Amino acid sequence: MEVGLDSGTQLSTMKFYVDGVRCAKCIHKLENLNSEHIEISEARFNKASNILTLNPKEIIASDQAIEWIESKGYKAYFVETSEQTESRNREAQRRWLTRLAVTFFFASNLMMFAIAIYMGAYGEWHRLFAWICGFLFLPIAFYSAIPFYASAWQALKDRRFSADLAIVIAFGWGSILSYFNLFRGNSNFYFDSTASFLFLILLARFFLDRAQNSIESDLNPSLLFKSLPVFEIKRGGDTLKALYHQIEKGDLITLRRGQTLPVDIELQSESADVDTSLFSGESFPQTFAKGSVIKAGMVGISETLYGKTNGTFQESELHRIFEGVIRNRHEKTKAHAKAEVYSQRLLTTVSFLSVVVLVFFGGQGHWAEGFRRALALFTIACPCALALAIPLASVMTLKRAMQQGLFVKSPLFFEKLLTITGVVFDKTGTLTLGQLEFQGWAPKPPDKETLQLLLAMEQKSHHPIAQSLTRLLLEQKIEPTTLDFCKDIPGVGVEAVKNGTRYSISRISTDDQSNLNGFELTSEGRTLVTAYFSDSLRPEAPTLLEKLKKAKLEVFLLSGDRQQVVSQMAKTLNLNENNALAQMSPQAKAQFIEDAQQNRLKSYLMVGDGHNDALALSKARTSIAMKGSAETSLRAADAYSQKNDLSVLNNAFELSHFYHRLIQQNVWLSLSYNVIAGTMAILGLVDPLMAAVLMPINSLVVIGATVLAHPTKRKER
Amino acid sequence: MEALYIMIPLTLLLSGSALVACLWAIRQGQFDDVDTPPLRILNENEDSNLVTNNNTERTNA
Repeated sequence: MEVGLDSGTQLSTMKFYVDGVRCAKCIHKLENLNSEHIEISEARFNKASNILTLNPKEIIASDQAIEWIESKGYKAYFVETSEQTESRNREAQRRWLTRLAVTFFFASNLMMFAIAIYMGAYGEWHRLFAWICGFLFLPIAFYSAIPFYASAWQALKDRRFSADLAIVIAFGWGSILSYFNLFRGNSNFYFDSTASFLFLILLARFFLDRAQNSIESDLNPSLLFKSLPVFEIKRGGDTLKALYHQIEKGDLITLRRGQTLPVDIELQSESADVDTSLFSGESFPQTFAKGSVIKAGMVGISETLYGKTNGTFQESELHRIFEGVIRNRHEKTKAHAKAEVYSQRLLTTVSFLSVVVLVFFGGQGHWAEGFRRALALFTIACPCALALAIPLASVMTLKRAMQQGLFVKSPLFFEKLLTITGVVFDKTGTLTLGQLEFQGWAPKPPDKETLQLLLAMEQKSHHPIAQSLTRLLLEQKIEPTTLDFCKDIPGVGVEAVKNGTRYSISRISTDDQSNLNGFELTSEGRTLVTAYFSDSLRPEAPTLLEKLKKAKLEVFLLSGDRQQVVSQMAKTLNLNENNALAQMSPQAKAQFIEDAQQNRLKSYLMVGDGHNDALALSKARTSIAMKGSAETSLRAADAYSQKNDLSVLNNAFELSHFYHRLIQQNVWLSLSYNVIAGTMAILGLVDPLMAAVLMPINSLVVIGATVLAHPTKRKER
Repeated sequence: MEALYIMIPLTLLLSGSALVACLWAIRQGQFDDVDTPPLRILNENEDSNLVTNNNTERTNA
């Protein structure tokens, strides 16, 4: 086993997903980072993927780089990509482009020679052009269509019927018949329509692939410790640097501020402030005393914290949560889009009808006629309009969602959203803003001198309340005073001396009823002033919840917070007491959703943000992670809001209706065409050549209707 | 009509060279990122690669 790895601070390129980059100026700001920080030799931003690549000149910790990026006003996430996945993605993209270029070249050239045949080339010329068409078709059959062959073969092995299998059947039938007729010197071939059919479908697939694959990346436990992945441990007297999975039971670990604890520990420091939001969902940190057990997944707020490990990462509850998320996501991806089901059914019906027609005429001795009509039917009714229009509708809806600040991982999200019966909310960070906001002073606002003193003292502390107050006072242009002595005491507060007088700030938490937290400033046993802070409700939350209830959706509030706080919030939101559950662990949240969805009568949309919601997000029928979510939640959810605003839910519902309408419209358009033209083919009114001309017209109509569709704004109020 | 015997290979050769050029560009990575370069060009100030820009920048400010 390797201990002493320094992978968090290596000298290779670092990648960050940067949120909020809109214009040329933003790109310039980011790419100029290297002129401001000599440690960076080059900074390059890719607008398509929102990835910033930094080439460091010397060792930089990723949290340091994130700080630099965030100082420019953007939210940054460290992206864990190995060189292999990176180059694999790039190669995949280039392979797609190569395939498209080659297909376009051969299909378009083939079309030119086909036109000559349609224009009435005869005799020797006809034969020459026909053979040229046949040659130009070879790369399309043996190179361009490979991805479809592979996917169809997979479907055959799994004994299921997929859209790709349908495409291969249609494509294969067209190609084999064309070559058969070419060798026989017969003029019935469809190289041109088959080639253009394949090109258009490739094109649609390419765009869908690009729209979907921009954020999705592999789930990896190192995500949890991404900003500071290297831990300092003492093992048998040696000081080592280790990664999360290299820590063993009995090691002494030093946790720095902001680091996520990778294993369960027994605290050795006198006391420590710890962010427990992973398990409690509570924004207020907890103070632990020496000897108490701190679970993996909690984040240190005190400058440093020492502890003796109780086990490995594999044995921790954090690991079990992570495993659960991976398992649930894996099960979810097995679901099939409804659109695909449509084309499958259509194709099965058409294949069946073709065989019936063939057998019917063949039975009467007219095999040639039966074959002609069956082929015309198959060509006309081939679901290529559907196969094209559905990816197109998906791309359009995904793009629209992105413009509205909703990053959706798969168009399946829109289908699932229409089937939900209830919405489950997390409390902290989802219904509330997730940060402690100043509420008021008691007994009265202090004078300027006291404010200056408070600022000087609180600047020393990393406690969320101290940071909130510091922000507030700096906004009011208060300058900190100079102190003779100042010390942050974890778990207690701040102590300071100025002009011989001792001052101390101590954290207080009021009775459970009011859910207020704060601090008091005391000097020589006298309380000078008290300040109150609380996590306030998002302003748009009450109206949104009313709307959801009006739409006959159940609304639930699941929180890890205390009972009193949750009941209070339920009252404010006019929520049924039974629908607001407190003290829910991450597993309990997921279990609640699983139990309710068990008999398939109910399905929920989960909206959350923290590590503690990740399991529930992955368990729910569909889910949205709010802006600023923990990395696990981002990966676990089906969609991710880039706006720090709950009204994004309204947009999501509207888009789902839009998507649904679009799919339905396309299905009806191509279905009615298929029925009319199919009947004509069976009756022998259309020959295969005519069918080959009619087919692209149908595709064009469906594509046009999709592109021109607009989401009609329903009037509100 | 005999001209076709020259023109057909010529057509394929000509459009084939366009295909080769396209494949070359793909392999060079010229299509890896098509969104950022057009925005990068809009940025007139502080371009460290162009020495002459330093003067214009000062007069602008």
